[in-house]
Amino acid sequence: MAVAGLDAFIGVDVGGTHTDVAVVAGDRVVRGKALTTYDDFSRGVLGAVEVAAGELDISLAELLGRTKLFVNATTVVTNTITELRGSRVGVLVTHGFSDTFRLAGGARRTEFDDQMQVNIPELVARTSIAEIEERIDYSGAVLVPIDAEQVRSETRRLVEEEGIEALAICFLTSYLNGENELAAERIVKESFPDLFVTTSHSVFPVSGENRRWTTAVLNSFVQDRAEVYLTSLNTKLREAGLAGGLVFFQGLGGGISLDKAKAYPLALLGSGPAAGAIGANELARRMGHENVLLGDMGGTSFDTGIITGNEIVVEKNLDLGPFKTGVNVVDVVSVGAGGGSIAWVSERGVPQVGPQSAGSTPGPAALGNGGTEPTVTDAMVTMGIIDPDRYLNGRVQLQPDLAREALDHALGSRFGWDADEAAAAVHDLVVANMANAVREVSIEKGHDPREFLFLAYGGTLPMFACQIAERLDIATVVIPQNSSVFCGLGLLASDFVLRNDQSVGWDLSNPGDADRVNAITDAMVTAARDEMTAEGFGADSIEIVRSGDFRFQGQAFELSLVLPDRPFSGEEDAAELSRVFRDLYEKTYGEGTAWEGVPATLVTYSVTAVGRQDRPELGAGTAAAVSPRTVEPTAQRSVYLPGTRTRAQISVYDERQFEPGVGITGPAIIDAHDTTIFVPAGTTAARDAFMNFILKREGDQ
Amino acid sequence: MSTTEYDVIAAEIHRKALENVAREMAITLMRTSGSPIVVEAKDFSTCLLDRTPEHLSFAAYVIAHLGSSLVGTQKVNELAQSMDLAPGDGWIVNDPHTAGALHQGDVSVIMPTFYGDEHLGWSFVNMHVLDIGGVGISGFAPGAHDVWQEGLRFPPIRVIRDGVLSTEWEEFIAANVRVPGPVINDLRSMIAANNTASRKLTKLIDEYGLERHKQFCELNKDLSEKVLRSRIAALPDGVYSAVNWNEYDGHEGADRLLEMRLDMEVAGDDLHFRYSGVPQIDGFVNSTSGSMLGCTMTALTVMLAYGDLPVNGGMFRPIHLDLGEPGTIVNATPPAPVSASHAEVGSHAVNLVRDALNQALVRANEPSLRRRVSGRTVDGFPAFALFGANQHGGSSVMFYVDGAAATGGPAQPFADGLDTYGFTMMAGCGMSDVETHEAQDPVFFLWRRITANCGGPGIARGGNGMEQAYAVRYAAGVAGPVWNNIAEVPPHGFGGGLPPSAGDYIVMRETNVDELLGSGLLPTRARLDGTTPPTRNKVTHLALGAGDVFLSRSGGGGGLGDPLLRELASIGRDLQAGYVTPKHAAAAYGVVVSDDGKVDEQATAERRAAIRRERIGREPARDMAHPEVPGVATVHADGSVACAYCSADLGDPDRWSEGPAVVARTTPVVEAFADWDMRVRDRQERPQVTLAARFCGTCAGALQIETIVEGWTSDAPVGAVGFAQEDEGAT
Repeated sequence: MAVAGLDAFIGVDVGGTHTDVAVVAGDRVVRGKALTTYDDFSRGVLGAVEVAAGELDISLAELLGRTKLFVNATTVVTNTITELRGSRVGVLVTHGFSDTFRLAGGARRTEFDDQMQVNIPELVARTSIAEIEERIDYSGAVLVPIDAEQVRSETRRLVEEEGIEALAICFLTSYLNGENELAAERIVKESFPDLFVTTSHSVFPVSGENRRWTTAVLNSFVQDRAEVYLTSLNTKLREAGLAGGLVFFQGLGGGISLDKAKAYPLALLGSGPAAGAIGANELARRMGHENVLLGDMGGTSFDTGIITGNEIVVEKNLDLGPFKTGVNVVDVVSVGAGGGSIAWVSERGVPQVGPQSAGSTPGPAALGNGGTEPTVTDAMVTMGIIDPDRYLNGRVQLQPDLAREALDHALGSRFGWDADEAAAAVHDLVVANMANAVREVSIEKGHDPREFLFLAYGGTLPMFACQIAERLDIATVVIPQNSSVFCGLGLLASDFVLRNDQSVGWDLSNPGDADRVNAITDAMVTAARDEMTAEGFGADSIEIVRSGDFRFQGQAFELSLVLPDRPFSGEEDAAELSRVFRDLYEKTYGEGTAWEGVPATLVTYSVTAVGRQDRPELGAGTAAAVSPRTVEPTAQRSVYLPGTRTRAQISVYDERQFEPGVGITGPAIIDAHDTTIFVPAGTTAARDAFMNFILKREGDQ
Repeated sequence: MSTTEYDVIAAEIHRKALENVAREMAITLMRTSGSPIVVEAKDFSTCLLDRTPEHLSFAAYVIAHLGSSLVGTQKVNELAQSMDLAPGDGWIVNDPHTAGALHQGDVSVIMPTFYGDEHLGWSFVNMHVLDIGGVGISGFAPGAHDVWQEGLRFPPIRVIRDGVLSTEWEEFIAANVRVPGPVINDLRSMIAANNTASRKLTKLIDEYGLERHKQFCELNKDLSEKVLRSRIAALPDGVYSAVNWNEYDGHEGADRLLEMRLDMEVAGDDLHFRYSGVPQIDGFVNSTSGSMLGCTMTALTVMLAYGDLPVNGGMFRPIHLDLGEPGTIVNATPPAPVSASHAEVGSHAVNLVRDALNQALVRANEPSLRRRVSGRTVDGFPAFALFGANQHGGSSVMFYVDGAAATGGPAQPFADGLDTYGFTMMAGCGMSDVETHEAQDPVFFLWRRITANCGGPGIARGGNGMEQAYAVRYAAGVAGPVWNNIAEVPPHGFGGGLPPSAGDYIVMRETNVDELLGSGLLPTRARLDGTTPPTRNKVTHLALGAGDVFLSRSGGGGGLGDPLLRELASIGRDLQAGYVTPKHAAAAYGVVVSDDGKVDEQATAERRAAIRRERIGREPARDMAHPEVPGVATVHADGSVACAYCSADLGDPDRWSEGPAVVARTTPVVEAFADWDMRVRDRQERPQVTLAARFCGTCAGALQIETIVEGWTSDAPVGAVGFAQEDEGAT
């Protein structure tokens, strides 16, 4: 919780390469950046904060001493899973079902090629899975209570012989009745009070043992590295003088406390991309836009997501590679399209771009570090869009000859193209790959991109943003003033969020069952409120959001509805919910597709408790009306234009020429501090009051 | 969108968009259908075809629908020539005899696609519905003696107009199936998926323009054809033959072994598949053109459609299918029953193609092709379709595809087979959670685990299968057919790899499940008690009462390469995990485990040497080295063939396996499997099944280990053993 009387806010995003910091202190926003330090992440964090403090001309201790709230996003949990470098986990599982993790609900992938079909990685050594005699039946009745002695001896074996560092307790049908899991946990704690334990019903009380158990195992799997990270960061920040609250950012787009993060570290999965989405939403809100498509392009990948009505879409039950989880995360689609993506020719003779990337070594051919495969960056240098003398703000000199040579070797000589034509082919493919990803999050989910603006950030995207928008008929592109500080600011705009999902199984043709359901949901809401109160939120600053997943009885997929913040009334609510669900179903799948004569079921009930946090007042900018005017180019550059496939001299501007209100018309290039903005012909670019670039196609204004 | 001069790029983007259409059709079907057969087992497919008809895109679920969708759409296309065709028309198709369906339970809805007024082609959706009437349940009728007993047959019938299923037909179908609600709703879901196709395709053509759309469709088919042809051309010309036996008698007679053969000819960049088989029989195993084409394409696709080879109509162009004279099990005609055509004779065709392709692949010069060899698999599973009242006052159709998902996959040259690979034709096949079964059906699961000694031993081991057991509880009982298609003739591995354990099932009656649970004890395998009367392999009607236990074990995948060369570390891991038992490790891998459970390297070296002496009856003259590619046991070059383990010349490259450089041994499969501690059904009738092994006479390395039927010779006519003496039941 934030402490009163302090005036600074710090958002830190610990990414794979860089640790980015945004600080809001009074009316100033400053940034800091440092390399991520893998041996002790807190060092990079403090380093980056110190850079920001320097911008404010104060010391690190002074800044932390003034800080009201410190919000942190981290890749630690995501990386622990993708690199399979977690704790040695032990599992207590219902007798007879220890192979559930290996069977994985059927691990065959939907691919033709047999050689893609390989066994899934083992998170838990088979010898560390202990079978326990216990059983709860389909109705939730305990048929076989646990055998305390067996739990005790098996846990002892796991700890002493297998050397486990954390435990997961996974029993059948615990989603209906957690009694046996809790009893086992109590017995484990008697002998090993410090052993980290996850019970499956506590992290995901939803039907389907494969997903629920995998979620529990993953939570224990990431626990150790998360704990080290969380503790070290907390200790170092306090030692360095942090006065206010410390909050950790979840992948579902809200903060949790240190203690909660320690108990449920899996919630930190995907927190970096989520911070970007929250930042985009916050900017859109300030600009008065409700519907935003967001894009972030870096060296290796392009991430995209959608915001409708200033609401961020949260994807339920994330499938993380082969692992099925019950984790909710902000829905972001990622494709392998970045500045380092390599262009190549496939066996059918079709040019392709990505997903392989040249990375930072050898990197693009134009870097001259020995790279011979042409990358997207090489194509942009060849076309003249990137100024070889100004790459990364002039820190690195590029060699266009090498870029042309690589393009010619890989594509040009084969298709009879000159270097410009080959570069344009690479350009078109990477734009198509990104446009397809944007299509996936918009059109394919029923949203018309023409109703959205495209918020483009990341160092590479401003060269392509307008071309992507054109393919999807998006009229307006916004390039925020400072891309890299974006995620950090997003963190500061976030709330404290706790979410719980629970199987309830209410057949709406049986309104009399509402009492049973209400007992469950009342308990969920009470628990959520209690937890928020314990985190220090007053009753006034807690908001409860209830939602439910519905399907026709016998189906396997659900559609979600927001539910009223009160218990169900029985008859009336059952009828109303049936009707609303039926409408949503036909809207989603087409008229006449609703199942006839089959009742709807409320499968899972979700309670999200939101605690409103103090947040910095981000200035409205010089929101007074800006008077439009234009400026003269600083130079002319020969650029091969992707639209017309012709080379032309076009105007080049410097970002610093653009005060609010200054606008120009393309074709043009704006060289900015850490990026290059390409403005195609027939598009205008102007700075708005928030210092964002707004790009619009003529005729759409 | 911006125009581009580079058609090859625009065409590639267009191709991806067409694949998205097929995928979105699949998503619509999965989301609107509730059936676990669709959602978890992924027993469905969606695709787009043009007017020819050729495939434009195909979603990779049931791969064998490559065949049924083509044959079915060809049939509808013919019919449509003499009809007024309108958007929103739709045909139901499920007849294997007249319209290429895989079996009657697989129902297709085929609808035309239009752009404005122009008929562009077809969209195809197929799913396995919960029931189609007849003597079987869920479309499988081992008890049927002819096709009319097997349930409803829809040669293409136009039952959908303006996107709506006709009320009369709806009532007719509802009156003829056991669970009308879900079946009718599934038909609606298939219409919804076809609607998705029309909508998305129109948008796509709006974007590209009609002419460019057509041009790109042709270009992309041509490109796929070109790649497949170049891979075929890299295989040496010649005829590669394979033989297999389908097991059947669900009619209380002696179990019969039905021979089927494939002669695959590589001729330049064309592939000819010539099948032959014994006369069709009066049981549901017979196959027809849709299954045979689909199963051929299944094996071809999983083995050769790797990397940059998008699956579309271009892939069919180099393929030529010859099913021989009508009236055999591979080319059945009415009244032959066919309700498991894809899962019995069809799935054996998958193994025949695997085998023939393996023979061609090892002879390829191109190393990347030699690395595509793979073992056969137990391409089938112990299946049941049971029906009865459940604990919720309703009724349950229990058709668990769990067993299909749980068959072990083929060993690959670079890795052990996938443990839950499943039926080869069902990519992405999953299994339902135990909690899902228990919530819906009157069952109580006792265990679900990987069975030991299941995957075929080899340098690379085949994937393991799953074993599960449940007791009937909360209801009086359920009943229906039970069948298992590969129990007596286990599929062989390749290049010296051994066959896997076969699948089976056991029924346990008068058990103590209730008694144990009543006293708060879990019915574990050790405590479970009851009687296990012998069961036949295919049963028309099995009744399970309360307290009876049904235990099924899926088979595994074949191994690759001589198991005596498997890394000790891998065997150690398998032992520790319980995937193999010490007895199996000793007999099949020559690995000796000491008292502390660790591999004894010294004793292992001695035991492996002893096994090699035993194989050839003398001290091997040379050491065995690891082959370049596990599973490639013979090295072919310039008219010669050598042992890949020791480089010894093996003589005549075409008849090396009969030559003097190798030592041949045959053993009854039942005996060999008993030695190896593996499972195969003990066949009670003659002829027996034998294991025919070929070892290098110089180093004793395993070159080829096959399962064949006693008395079989490659030059005898098809069906000379195992069938002819008892074919009075054939129709």
